[in-house]
Order: sequence, then structure tokens, then C-alpha cells
Amino acid sequence: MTELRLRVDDLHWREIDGEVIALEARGSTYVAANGAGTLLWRALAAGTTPDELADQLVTAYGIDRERAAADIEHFLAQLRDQGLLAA
Amino acid sequence: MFEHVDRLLASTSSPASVLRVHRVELLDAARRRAAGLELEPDLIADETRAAVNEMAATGLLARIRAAYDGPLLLMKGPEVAAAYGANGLRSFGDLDILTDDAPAAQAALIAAGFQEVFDEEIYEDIHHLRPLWWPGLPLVVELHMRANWPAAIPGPSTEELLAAAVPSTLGVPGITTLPPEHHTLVLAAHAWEHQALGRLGNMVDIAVMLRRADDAEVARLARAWGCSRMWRTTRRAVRAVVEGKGHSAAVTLWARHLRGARERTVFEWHVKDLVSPLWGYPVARVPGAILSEARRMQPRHSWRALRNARRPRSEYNQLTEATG
Repeated sequence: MTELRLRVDDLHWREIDGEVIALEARGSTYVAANGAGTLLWRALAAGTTPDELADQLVTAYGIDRERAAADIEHFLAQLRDQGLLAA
Repeated sequence: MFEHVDRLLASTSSPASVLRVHRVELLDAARRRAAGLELEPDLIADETRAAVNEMAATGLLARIRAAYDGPLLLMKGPEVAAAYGANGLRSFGDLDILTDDAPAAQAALIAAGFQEVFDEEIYEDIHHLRPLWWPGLPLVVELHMRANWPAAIPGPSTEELLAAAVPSTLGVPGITTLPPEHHTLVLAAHAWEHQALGRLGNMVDIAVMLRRADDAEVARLARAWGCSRMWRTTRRAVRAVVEGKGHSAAVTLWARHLRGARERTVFEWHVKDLVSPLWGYPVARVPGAILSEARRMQPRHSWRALRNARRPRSEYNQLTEATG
């Protein structure tokens, strides 16, 4: 399965009080993620797959797999729109 | 070194607003986190803001470097923050950059897309030009003609500082900074510029930079620049307040607010204005500075100040603004 990973160049991020704050330096735009978004962000920073992401959401939030997959797809679409995922 | 500051912050009754004025709010946040204490939302917002600024700094410096060919020497701000040894311990809101031809650099940056901000009048006849910002980024850029230095205290020329430049620790190609010894003295001068030995954070900055510096070389440089008295006083204050060692007469007599991370009272403010030149200025300039300060104190205001001697300075300022 295709590995998903956050872009490394010109993307800086920190985690503060359980929330991710990121700066996309090329376009000078900010991204913030909390809760589930932070969980997914951490996994994407290390490199992961959609299945692994779904496993994490199901385990952490006790939701069914179908809903987890839909949430992940929505989150990944936002990251793709902003060019934050590695090619 | 932070252990003593942590104890000082743990024992202070000052609210976060005062710790912000002292520029130690992030050290307090780190201390609270380490102790498992809850953080107020404002303090978390401080941490977030600091993180965003830290992340923005290197990209902004790269844009500045691309826009101007001359020397670009970064002072204070992120360079000092990096010396703290961990992210998020020292806030900054601007990039102070010393350059050989500030107007030319300003023009080059504007041509590259930077925009001037804030009122023009504020920046006439001071040590840097009107701040610039890159749309979307939180930091402003200040291009300096000279280092910020108290007028009564001799200091280095811009040429001397630029000649001493070393690569910035932030790793942005073509961006330089000062060697730790030079930087320490620039930070010390900064600690005297706005209000002599006013902020605890200034003291911590100096202590942090001193960890990278040769203490004897700093003293030698201070002699060469003619600011030994200012440096000796600052060094003793840093040792007493930040490192918890030795004795500082200046801290005891006119900067005791540092030990409590609190505001100066009205009385302490006046004492500082009157006597701090004795500790920091070259001997020949001391009588003039004290006379000038004594003349500045109008009898009507002095009487009112005396009646409010124990009030924190900001409270007194609010009172005088309200009553005229």
C-alpha cells in the first residue's frame, strides 16, 4: 500500500498542549490540528498508510472503521489541497 | 542555570502579565509544565505564538537574504532564543538585522515584496528603520544602522560589529551573527537602554549567551569599547539574579524588583533614574546624567510620586493618566 508522509521541505511544525501548529513556509500559511488531527499528523510525519491511520482512529476514539476511513479521507484531502503531503 | 530562575518564578506573586513584561513567561510555562501544573489559556497562547515565530524565522531570513546582497547580521531574537538550548523558552517578535547600508537594504526588501508597517514618525532618528513584514508571516524585520546602545555609554561602531560577524547558528546561508562575546555586550547594552536592569528576561539572555562566551574576553572587549562599568554591573547582576551567586549592590539598591520578578515601584523607579548612572556610565558622564535627571523631576510630579512611592510603576502611570 502507498505510504503517506508529510512533506519535509518548508513545512515546520510543533506540538503544543496536544495540538499541532504548522507553518507552510512557501505560501506563508498556517495549519492547526487538534485531537484526532494531531494523532493523524504525528503518524503522517513518521510515514504511514491509510489502513494504519484508520487503526489508530478506531483504537483512540472507539469509532467504527467506515467512519474512521471517511474522516481520514477528508483530512488527507485538506492536506493534499495545501500541498502538505510528500509526492 | 534555569534552576535558580525556576525557584524565583515559583516564589513570585507576579501575574502572568508582569512576567510577560519581564519576558520570562515562556520560562514560567516550561516550569509549570515540568512541575505538572496547569497552564492558563493565555500562557498556552504565548507558547503557540512563540512556536509560530520560531518556525517563521528561518524562512523569513532566507527571503531577506535573497533580496539584499550586503551583510546581514542577526542580533538578539531568534539567535538568543537558539542559545537557550530548547525551543519555546524565549519569545521574540522581530528580526533585528544590522547591515552596512540600511536604507539600501530597506529598498531592496520592499522591491522584493516586503511591506513597511507601523507609524513612520516613530522610527525617525532612531537606530533602525521602519519595520517591514512579509504578508502572512508574524514577524517584523528591523534593519539597523547601529546596535541599540545607551547614548551615555560608549560602544562599538557598526563597522566593527560587521567585521566580527560569524555564521548564524540558525543555519541560514549568508546570514551572520555576532560572536558570543560581542553578542553578550550587545545584550547588556540593550538591558540598559530602555530601563537600566529592568527586565529579568534580559538578564537570562545574557546568562545564556555567556555560556557560549569566554568571560575574560567579554571583559576585555568591554574595556576596549569603554563600557566596563556597565558590563561589571550587569555581570554581577546576572550572577546574583540568574545564577544565584555572589552579591550585586545594583540589584540590592536599585534593581531589587528582579529578585521578585515584579514591577518596580514608583520609588524604585526614581532611585534607578537617579543612581543607575553611577553603576553604568563612564565616570566623566555620571555628574551630568544625575544632574539632568534631577532637573527632569518637577516638584509637583515628585510630590505626587512620593505619595505613591509604593505603588507599582504601571499602576501609577494609569493614575497620572487618569488625573492629568
